[in-house]
Amino acid sequence: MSVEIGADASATAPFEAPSSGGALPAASGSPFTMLPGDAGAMICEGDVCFVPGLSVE
Amino acid sequence: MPGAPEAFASIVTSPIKIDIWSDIACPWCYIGKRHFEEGLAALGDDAPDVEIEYHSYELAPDTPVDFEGSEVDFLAKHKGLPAERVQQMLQHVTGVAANAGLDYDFDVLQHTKTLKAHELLHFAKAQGRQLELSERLFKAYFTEGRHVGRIDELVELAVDAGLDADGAREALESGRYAADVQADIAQAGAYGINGVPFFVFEGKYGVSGAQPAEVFGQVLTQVAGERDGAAA
Repeated sequence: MSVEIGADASATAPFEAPSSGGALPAASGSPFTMLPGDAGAMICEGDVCFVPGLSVE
Repeated sequence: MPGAPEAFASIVTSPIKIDIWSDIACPWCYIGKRHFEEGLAALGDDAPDVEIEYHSYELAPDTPVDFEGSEVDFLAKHKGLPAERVQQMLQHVTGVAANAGLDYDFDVLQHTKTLKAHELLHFAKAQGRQLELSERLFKAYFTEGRHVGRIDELVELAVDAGLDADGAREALESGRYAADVQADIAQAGAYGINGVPFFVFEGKYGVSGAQPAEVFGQVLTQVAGERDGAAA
């Protein structure tokens, strides 16, 4: 299981929009063309889940 | 159409391939799965045929198979977070899951290592039942409080998904698919995938995170449109 970080901030803090067309934090060095989608979409790394672009506590 | 290269016809008629890296113990992977399904369904008659393949990703390899305590206990100890903070986070994800039609119950969730569950998913893929098992495992873990780290329980869930009990047990006890699980994890590393869920469309486009259903619908429409354009 994972815990989310930064989710509470999702309702109030502005999201830092990912760079358009660039690689997102979840796949740096990715061979894929990254589609940015919703900047507020959660991902999980290890036991931590967060919104890419928000600082992890 | 007369004279059209067979390759183009094949592009249009073959399903769109979608590879998904996820972990059974990832709450946003289950939510992302449901959002993807909703996005696909929302396209109605315009929905393209898709072929989905799940790939293994182990979020926390150091997780014990058996952990005595609640999810809050585990996360508070493991991450050094205040219990109240963990409670807030679990309440948040439970609320988002509910909006996706998923009834998460962290009070009964049994934290465990998911390596064997991933081996079973590879067995299920070989049997053509991976999607059924994926849904069964997510539901068992997040809503039913089932233990998805023990072979006996996994065999029961395999049967629920339409798999043969003896075959599933043999696959798990022999570790026959352990190398396939590690290959998936290594492939994720080679692709630079550091977080899940991670979706790859047609081996070309990457989509990270539990995106809203509308985003998945847009991506599917875009990919299908490109295929139509290529075949025109």
